[in-house]
Amino acid sequence: MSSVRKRVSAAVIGAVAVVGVLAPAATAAAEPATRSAPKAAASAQAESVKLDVVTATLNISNRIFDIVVQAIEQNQNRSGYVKSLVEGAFYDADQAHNVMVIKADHPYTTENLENVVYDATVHGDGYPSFRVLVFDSGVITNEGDGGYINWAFRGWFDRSDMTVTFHQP
Amino acid sequence: MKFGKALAVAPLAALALAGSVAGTTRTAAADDPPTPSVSVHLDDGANGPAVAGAITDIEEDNRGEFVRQAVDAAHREAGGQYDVVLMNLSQGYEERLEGKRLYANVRWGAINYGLWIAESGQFTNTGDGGYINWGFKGVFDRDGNTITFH
Repeated sequence: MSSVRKRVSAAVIGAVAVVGVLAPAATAAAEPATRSAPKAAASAQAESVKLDVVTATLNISNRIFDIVVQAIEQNQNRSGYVKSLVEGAFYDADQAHNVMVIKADHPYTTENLENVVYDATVHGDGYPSFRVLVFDSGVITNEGDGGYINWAFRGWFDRSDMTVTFHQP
Repeated sequence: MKFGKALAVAPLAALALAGSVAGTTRTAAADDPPTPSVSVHLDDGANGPAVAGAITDIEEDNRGEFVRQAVDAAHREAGGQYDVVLMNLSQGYEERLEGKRLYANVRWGAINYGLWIAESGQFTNTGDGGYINWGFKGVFDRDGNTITFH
């Protein structure tokens, strides 16, 4: 039972990125089959979730709908998740070190990192893995997309485009 | 993750097929308000456990109302003399608070909020200023979406 459930949610989450892209078009076309979002999932973006059912002898539409809405909401809030890692680590480290959070498989380079007091990869449910680095100084260059869904940092630094040079407080 | 990608086509195909369901009933579980979770990362005399407990206890399915209640609870439990900001971290913000007493990550549903309790300073919301995204309480002047606490 549990392995079946895992499969289903993994598949739906995999589909969400595409659904998210298609959603605006679906909204613009005002598809009659589009269901309005339920109260519990109140979010403007979630209103464009669409569930077209062919057979519902076993009516699990609400649960499937919830999974899709939840996954879309989660996806939309990924930058909030990334920044929550940054803020949490920054205060946990007594506001005395630089913090970088970057998607673990993102293209990036690090140079001359000094006094790394924490280095971990976190695996949050429903999100990609992120590396959390807490350190005193060094240079980190993001060689991929620079959106907050992929990286965020705070501390003492000079930024030149996608290269961030951190120094001691 | 490999598995998810491989199967992604199946639900998409299901979603693309026509025919809508009308009048489906929702389960009680699906309508339960989200249970807030709070992790305190800085607590310098702000009664962190009580602040966390009071926010965790909020049962509210209206997001704007949750923000309002969480700010009130934090302000009250921290003793009433400090300034409080709750901000949706997925929005842009500039935090220049001083005399910080508490920082906590507050999760409500899929939303990650940051909660700051401080003595003074400024906080600017550079993103969406709707009350589902931020709230604040204390002694302050407001200029647009910049709050200056005294």
